[in-house]
Formats: sequence, C-alpha cells, structure tokens
Amino acid sequence: MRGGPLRPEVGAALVTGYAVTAAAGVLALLTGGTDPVAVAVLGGLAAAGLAGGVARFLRQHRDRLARLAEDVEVVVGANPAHRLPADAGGGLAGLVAAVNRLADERDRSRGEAAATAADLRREVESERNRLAELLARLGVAVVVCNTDGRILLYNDSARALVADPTLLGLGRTVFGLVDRGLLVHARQRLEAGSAAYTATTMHRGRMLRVHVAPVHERPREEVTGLVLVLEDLTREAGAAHERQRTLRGLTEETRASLGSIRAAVDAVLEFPDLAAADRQRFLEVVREETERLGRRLDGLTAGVHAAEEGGLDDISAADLATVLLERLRHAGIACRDVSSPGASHTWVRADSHALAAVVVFVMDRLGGPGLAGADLDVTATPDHVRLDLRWAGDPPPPSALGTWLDELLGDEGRTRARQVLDRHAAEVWTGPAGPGAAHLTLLLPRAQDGVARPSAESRAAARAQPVASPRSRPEFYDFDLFGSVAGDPEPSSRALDALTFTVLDTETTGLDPDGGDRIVSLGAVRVVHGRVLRQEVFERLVNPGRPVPAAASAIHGLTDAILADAPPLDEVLPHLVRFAEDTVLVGHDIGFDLRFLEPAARSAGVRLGHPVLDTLLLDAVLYPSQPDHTLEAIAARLGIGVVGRHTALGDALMTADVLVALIPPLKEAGIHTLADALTASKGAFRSRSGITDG
Amino acid sequence: MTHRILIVDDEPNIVMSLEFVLQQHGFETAVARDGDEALEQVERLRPDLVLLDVMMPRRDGYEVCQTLRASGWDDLKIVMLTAKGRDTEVAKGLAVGADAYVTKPFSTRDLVDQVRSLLQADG
Repeated sequence: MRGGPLRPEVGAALVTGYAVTAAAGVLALLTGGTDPVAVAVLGGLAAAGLAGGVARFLRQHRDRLARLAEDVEVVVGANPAHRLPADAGGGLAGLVAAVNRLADERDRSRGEAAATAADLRREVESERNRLAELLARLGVAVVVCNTDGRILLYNDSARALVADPTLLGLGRTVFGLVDRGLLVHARQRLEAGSAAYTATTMHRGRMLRVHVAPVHERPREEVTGLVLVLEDLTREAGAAHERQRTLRGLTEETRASLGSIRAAVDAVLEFPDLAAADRQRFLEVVREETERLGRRLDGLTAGVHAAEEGGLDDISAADLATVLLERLRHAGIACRDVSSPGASHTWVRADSHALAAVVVFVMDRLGGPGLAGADLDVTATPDHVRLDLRWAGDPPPPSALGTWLDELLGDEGRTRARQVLDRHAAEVWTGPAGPGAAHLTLLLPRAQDGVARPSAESRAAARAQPVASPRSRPEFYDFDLFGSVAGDPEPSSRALDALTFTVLDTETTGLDPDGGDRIVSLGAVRVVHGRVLRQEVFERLVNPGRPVPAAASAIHGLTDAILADAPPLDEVLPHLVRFAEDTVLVGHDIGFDLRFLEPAARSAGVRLGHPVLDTLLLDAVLYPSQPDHTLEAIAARLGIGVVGRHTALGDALMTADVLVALIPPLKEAGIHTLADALTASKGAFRSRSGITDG
Repeated sequence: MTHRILIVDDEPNIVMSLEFVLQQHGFETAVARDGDEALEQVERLRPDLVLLDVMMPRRDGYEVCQTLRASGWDDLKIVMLTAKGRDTEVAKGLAVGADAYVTKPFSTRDLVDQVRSLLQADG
C-alpha cells in the first residue's frame, strides 16, 4: 500500500464522502419515517465505501502515472530501447502509444546521426590513411611535429636516415635528430612571415639539410606544427669538399712550382754572363719543377674525376650490360650477351640511362638496325670495366666517332655524348675486331664494391628491428598528438589513455637475481594514446656472463651459443633507458624484471626513475577474485591473442595488449589517472601480500 | 750600407734563385728552412728584411709574422712570398703585419724593386 502524502486524493475522497453523507442525511430527512441516525450511519458507511473507492481509483491512477513516468525516465536515461507497456490501462493507452512513437522517432534520428558521424569518421580516416601512405612512400624523409617538438608523423625514409631507430617515435621529441635551437629559430622565422626555412645540421657525423614548413590550422593563423623534410647531404657535401680541396691544392702547388721556375728563368735572363755551372743549376730547377707540375696534374685529374660523381649510381657491370642490351634491342639492334660470368660482379659508377643513350646513339650511326646483330662482351681489369660490342661489318673512320660524340643526343637533345663520357671519366672508341668485323668499346673506371658495408652502429640498431606483426600495418602517425602537451612534469595527474608507456619484458637464466641469475633478453614496445605501436619496439639479446641452464633454454630457446655474441647488460641498458625516456614503465609482474634491472642500472650509471605500473596488480585491482593472474590467463579472459610467447618482445607485446585492454575497465572502476592507478596497485599489492593495516 | 735579407722558404729551388739574384743586386742573404729556424735567425742575424713564405710545415708564415711583430720586431720589413693567392689570404697576411704580400710566380726584378723601396723608406 503506498504511503506518503495523499492529500489531493484524500481531500477528494473526503469531500465526496461528506457530500454523499450530507445527501443521504437530507434524503432521509426528506423521506421522513426512517430513523435519521440509522440513515446517517448507513449513509456514512455508504459514503465511506464510496470515498474509499474513489480514493483507491485515484491512487491507482496516480500509481499508473508514476510508473509511466519512471518508464519514460528509463527510455530517456538508461535504456533507449525500453518502451512503455501497452496495457497501462486507465485511459492512458493513447499517451503510452504516443510516448512510444516518440521514443521510436528518437531512436531513428539518433541512429541516423550516429551513422552519419561514422561515415564522416571513416572518410576522415581513409583520407588520413591515404595521406600517410603518400608520405610514407615519399623517397624524401619527412617528419611532422607539433610546436613542442613531439613527433606525430614520420615515414620510412626518415627512419632510414636516422642512425638509431629508437630516436624516431610517435610522441618522442624530434630533438634527437634536429637541434631544439634550430627549430626555435625556424619557428620564429616562419611566424615572422617566411614561407619556409632551410638550415643544415649535423646528426651523428652526417650532414643533413632541414627544410622546415609551418602547419597552420587556417592560413595565416598561428603555427600549430612543423613539417620537416630532411636530406642527407653528407655524400654531396663530401664530394664538394673534395673538389674544393683538390682545386685549392692544385692552385697552390702550381703557384709554388711556377714561382720556382720563374725565379730561375729570371736569373738566367737577367744575368747573361752566368757561369756555366750556375746556368746549369737554374735550368735543372726549371726541369725539376716542370716535372713536378706534370705529376701533380696527373694525380689531380684522377682526383677530380673521382669527385665528379654527380648523378652517378653504383651499378654492377652485369646490370649495366642488361640495360644496354635492352635499349639496343628496343632500337632494333639485336644483341647477345657473350660475357664470361666473372666480370658481372664488378661495379661501376654510372648513369645507366645516359650511358645507354650514348651507346645506342653511336650504334645507330654505325648502321643501326642494318647491323646483323652484335655481341656484347663485358670484361674487367683491376682498374676498369670494359664493354665491347662486336659485329660483322666495317669499322668507321676514327674521325667519324669524334664528330658524333659532339652531336646532341636523343630526342630531348640537351647533352652531348662527350659530356656524358666526361662525367663518367669514360672513353669510347671504335676499330676493327678481326677480319670483316668491327667493335665499339666503352671503357669505364671501376668503382669500389657497390655494396655498402653496414656500420657497427647500424648493425646494432638493426638488431633492434621490429618484429613484423602479421596482423597490423605499421602506423607512423598520430594526429591526436597535435594538441598534446610537452613532457608533463606531473604525469601522475594525466589520464591513463593519454600517457605514453614503455611495456617491457625480460627473459632470464632463472628466477633468482640475488643467486646469480641474469637477463638474457630484453624486449619493449611503446604504447602511445592507447595504441600499441608495433613498429616502435626495442629488442636485444644480452650476454648474461654465465652459462644458461638447460631448463631456461627450454623455455625461451636462448642458448650459450646464441648469446655468445650479444653485448652485456651494461651496454644495452642505456639504450633501453633512452628508448623508455619520458614514459611510464609497465610490465607483467614487473617487480621481477626490476630486481634484475635495478642493480644493473646502478652499475651502468643510468637511472630507472620512471613511474612503474604492473599489469598483474592492475588485473588484481579489477578482478580480485580471479585465481589466476598470469599473462596467459588474463589474455584468455580479455580475448587477446598469444603470439611469440616466451620471447621478451613477444611477451612485451602481449602485456601491452593487456594494458590497453585494461584501461577502459579501470576507468569504469574510477581509476582514471596514473596517480589513481598507482594507489590502487599499492592496495592490491598489500592485500595480495597479506599486509593489513594495524 | 749593405742590407741583410733573410729568405725563409722550405723549397730549395726558389731559395737558390732568390739568393743568387739578391746577392747579384748587392744584398747580403741568409736562409731559414722553416718557421722555427726563421725566428732563431732573426734573433741572431738581425736582418733588415725578411722574405717569408707562408706554406711551411710546423709553423707557417702567418704565425712567424705574428710572432715577430708580437716580439717587438716592428721595424723589421716583412714581405710575404707565397703560393696562396686568394684575396682573403692576402688580407690576412697584411693584417698579421706583413709590409707587402707577393704571390708566386712573381718577377724577381719586381721583387728586387719592391725590396729596395721598402728598405729605402727606412732610410
């Protein structure tokens, strides 16, 4: 029975009651004869009954309305799919139907709005993806950063430019690559009105040219980011420098020799009555210096040609021959490659397109398609690579070649064959090749082996190459970082999904760091804005400095043999610390890993002062009643796939997936910031360790 | 009065010709093969003029000139004779205290005239 103030209904009931009683009384009096008291009592009872009935009716009605009101609340608030029951009764059917229709309408328009928003989001996503793909494929190194220098986009070319791949990462600062001062200066110039800014900078011994362009929200408005295009000038700069040096050397040495010659000649000319012995001496000076000059010029021309490398690429003799054959065939001159296999592994520096153009040009003049066909033979000497074309026919007169080489080549006609040959320091000549045959020879200086040997640094960095994930495409951009604030001095107040994490895992020789067990492998991955960045990983093998027990090898597959070449932890740890700079460290039962890492950090002279979160404890915070908080159990519970189990990187990736999956439930449990997570973790730790207060 | 000229150059071929020509014109000559020897010789022989090459090993002509001026040899005439011909190099030579800067190759006749005029200005 409903309680509470019922005044309107009670009031109505009472009034009705009294009215009826009064009417009954009056009626009794008017009809007379009957006992007024009896009539009053009967009338009173009837009135009470009627009053009660009316009250109950009103109450029911009010209850129905209250229920309907609640149902509407449910529709509006908790469950948009809820509908008012059709059997509300009491003449409310019309209202119920109308409210339900309204709810349907609301659902429909909401659905439409959501669908439109989803479509727009998809479009924006696909445009972003297209842009990112384009930038990624650019042969030029591009890095986009926000005004705090945080990288929000980079491409493969940029990665190739950087000696240490861990320098480039989403959310990391770009100052590992380009000086902060340079960017500050660039921004000032850009804000002052320059369209772009160019400077050179040194990076790990290489000279880079940096073009900086601004990103504006809207034109002429405040700069919100910077687009950096980077070029490696080292090679060019090196060549130009060489040229300068050579030229300067030539000038000075020549002047010195000429000075000596001139003085000697002046002496002879000014003093004609020179004693024979004196004259002899002076003339010898002249001869000696002229010989010296000659030798210097020889050395010089070799140097100058080495420096004249603009536009030439390393190409193997075999590949050059292939290009020539193809072009000749295309020009209607059938050709065969009769080279012996040995010569194909030699290298030249050449612009294959230009050289082929020269050869085709000359062969065309020599008879072109009229030639019965030619044989191409590639041979090599210690200093040169020689390409000989031989065919049946008469050799041209020597002067003819000279004329042809001075003509403009090809359709575009912008270079002469001679220029191309000069650029290559190459020579071309024709002649007889036995009875009834002729040859055209192209002689090129041989280059160093074209295959660049990787430096120790790039090899070490290559050891940290990302594990190619079969599922996801590498993502090199996060435009949300545009608005992100620089290196927060107070990370603890930041939301978990806005933080950057380094999730790590180690493999060891055993479970007892104090008893001599050591790390054998380190793996880590960055999580930025709730995304696991699978291409920003760190993976190193570590030499433990002690034999690896068979039991441990059985788990992680790392044996003494495999680890023999690996660096010790002292060497690797600083790299890990740099990789994890400015982030929160995360691991599964990370206390275990830290017991190995902390002593090593002390002896390596680095600090692991990062805030630390443990996914095991976070899981315990959320699901304290679960018996099993192992990584596999959590992954199974959260529906995370297991890949690369028991490798440091594989486990780190899995832990990262777990972290990302735990953040939403943590938020729902009221754990939003790092500080919240740390507090909650401490609580879970204490209860798991059986530590109680008091 | 016979003026004494110190020739500083590590190239024996030019030294030979210069010595000969200067002696024929009545100057006393001495030779130093490098910058250190040059400084020693200036102290010992107290020449009136130094013909100083710039490109020498260990101590180059600029350094010798600067050292001499800094040691108080203000009256000593210094003529730089050198293969370094860029105008920035000439400017540097004069800035570090040379009285004249002559680029090789030069006419010995002209050099002698220049030496004479520098020494005469001294009186």
